[in-house]
Amino acid sequence: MKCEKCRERAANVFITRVVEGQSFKEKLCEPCAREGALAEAWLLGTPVPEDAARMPLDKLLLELFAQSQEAQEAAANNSGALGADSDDDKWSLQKLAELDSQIELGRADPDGFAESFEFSSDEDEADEEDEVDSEDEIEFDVSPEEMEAALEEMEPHEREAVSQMLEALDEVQQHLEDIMVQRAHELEDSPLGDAADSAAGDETLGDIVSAVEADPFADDIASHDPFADDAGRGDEATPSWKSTPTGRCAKCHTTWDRMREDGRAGCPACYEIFAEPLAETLERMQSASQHAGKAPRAAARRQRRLEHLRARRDSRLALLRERLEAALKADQFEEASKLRDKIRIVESTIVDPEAP
Amino acid sequence: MHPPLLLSAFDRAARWMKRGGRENDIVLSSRVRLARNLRRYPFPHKASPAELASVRHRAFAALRATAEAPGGMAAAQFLLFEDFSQWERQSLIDRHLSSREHVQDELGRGLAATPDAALCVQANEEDHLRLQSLLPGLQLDAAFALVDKLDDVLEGYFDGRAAFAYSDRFGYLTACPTNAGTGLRASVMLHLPGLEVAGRMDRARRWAEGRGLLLRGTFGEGSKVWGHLHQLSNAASMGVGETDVLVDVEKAARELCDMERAARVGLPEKQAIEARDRIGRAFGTLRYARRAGCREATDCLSLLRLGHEMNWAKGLTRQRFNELMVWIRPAYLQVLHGRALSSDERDILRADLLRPHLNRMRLDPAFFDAPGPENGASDKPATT
Repeated sequence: MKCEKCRERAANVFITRVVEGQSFKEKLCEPCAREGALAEAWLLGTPVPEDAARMPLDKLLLELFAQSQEAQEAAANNSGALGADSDDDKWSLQKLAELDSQIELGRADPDGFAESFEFSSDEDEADEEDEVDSEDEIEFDVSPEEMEAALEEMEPHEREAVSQMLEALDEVQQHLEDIMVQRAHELEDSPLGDAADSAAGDETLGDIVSAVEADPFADDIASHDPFADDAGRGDEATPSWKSTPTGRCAKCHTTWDRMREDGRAGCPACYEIFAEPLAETLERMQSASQHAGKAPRAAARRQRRLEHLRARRDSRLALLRERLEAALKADQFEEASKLRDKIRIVESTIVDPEAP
Repeated sequence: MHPPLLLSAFDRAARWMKRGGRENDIVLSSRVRLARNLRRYPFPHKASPAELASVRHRAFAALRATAEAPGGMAAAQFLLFEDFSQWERQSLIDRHLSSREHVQDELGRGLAATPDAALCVQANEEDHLRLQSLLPGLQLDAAFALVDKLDDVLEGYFDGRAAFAYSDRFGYLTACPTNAGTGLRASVMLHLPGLEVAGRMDRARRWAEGRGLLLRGTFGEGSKVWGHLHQLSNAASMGVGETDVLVDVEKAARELCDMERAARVGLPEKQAIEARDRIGRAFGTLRYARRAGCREATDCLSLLRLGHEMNWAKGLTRQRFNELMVWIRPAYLQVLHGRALSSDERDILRADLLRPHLNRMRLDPAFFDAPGPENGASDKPATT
């Protein structure tokens, strides 16, 4: 579960406010809860303790809210003195005025909120609408108004398609969020305990996202066999070591520095990726960087055999076609049909490169 | 655990210890090694245990499948290093079948070798496969022909399965880029006591370096010299063909042999007392000692071999010298006795092993033609 405010970190502070008999629940992460509390205190002019930054969060919240009650009473006494300038201010002042000063603090107890989540869902959605700008989930180039206008102009089926697309997008996003939540929980549940907790706190969603995103990407690289396509193994196909984003061998993650220190390459692919600096080094050490000895013989032999087989098939086909034409000219249709069958058979033989 | 490895799996005298090859008074053995890697696996130092085991399995399967093919490795012994103790594996180094790096880790390492040790394949040494052939005397051409054929056979097997790592630009790809290219190392074991006694070893080493060759210790890279045995090998593997390398090394080996012979001819006169003193002491030590350290025994044997070549000492063959040189190695001694031995025990057993052979040895009258003080006045002790 992620923080309602920043939607990045895992929520581990649960605040329940009971306002006129209605309870509102907030699921926040620690930094957001702290920030929110301090912001509210500033708005209300509540005195903030000097060591607020170092205070445990629950203690801070309780103290601030307790003081806000006093401030609220004071505000009620000389109403208007604070001068609500903006809507935002008004909203929070009203909200705070309505606060019936019952605060419950919960920590890492998500079970208790299973029901209440539904209850406050309307308000949640409203909040989301307000906050949509500050979120960096999906950025549309068009504003919501423009989008609406565009939707109205569309044909009904187009509109449906767009809405389906948006739904699909939402699903993808939801899936991604699920992964992140899971990841955050894993971090919390890890046996390292406190250390892991703080690590999870430090780790921003950006890190998790990049980790999640990086994985399939890394797999992609790993599965790429630089020697796989022998045909396209020209100089252009050879990736320059400078162009690899990390300067590492994609297969064994050896860096050039490591290779130079160690004096050993990590895997055959290293030679491809670090071809340029390696050639320079070899040029210096052995005064040559071009192999001039034995080449694998089996591969060459296989190639030759393959070409030979192909040539034989082609010449046989040409011969059969000639005979077919001659037979057709001479009106020997029985012979011609036999030849046609033969041609079909020869054509269907695959010259298998793997055949012995 | 196997019964004592070397006694059961391998011939008592390896092929390289026996007679054969050219220049075999000085050249003990010729070794040609080809480094090959499977393209789909990371190099052994980066590979996981599972990958190492897989590479070894593939290599052994390939060798078994091609054993009957012309050039294949027939009647090979397959050794998984996990089955053997540390000192058993070390005895493979003494037989020049393996290297220090290879036997250090047992996991996923292995060795396939013919019983006479003329042809062997090291699995997961520095590279996935190292094909090596070891023949007596100077016959790099024959040794190369052996590994070359085995390489062709293996390549034919691996082609289409997990082909060898090869690129048109860098040739055969190896873990250490200095081996990339041909992956070939041709080396020759030279017995050079004459040059050492005459104090000309440094000059010889510089001379070899000037020709782009390396003159190194007995067990290859970074090892010490034992019993005046030096390894001459090629340095470059990139930009030169296999034949050129073999010809270069062979030519240099011949020239070094000539230098050594020249030094030996000069010994009885120029270093009359020094040479007789050293050889006589070596004889006395091995003949009567009850405890002999490995280094001491090796050096003494080497000097006696020199005496044998100069016709000063008789009674032992070259093959016997070669065998003794290996048998007295610490790890080999333990394998011979089938148990771990303390260093003191080893020294006693080593002396016991050598004494009967030395009993058969006689010093030639020429050795006793000791120059008088008037003759030996010009003799200057060599600085070695």
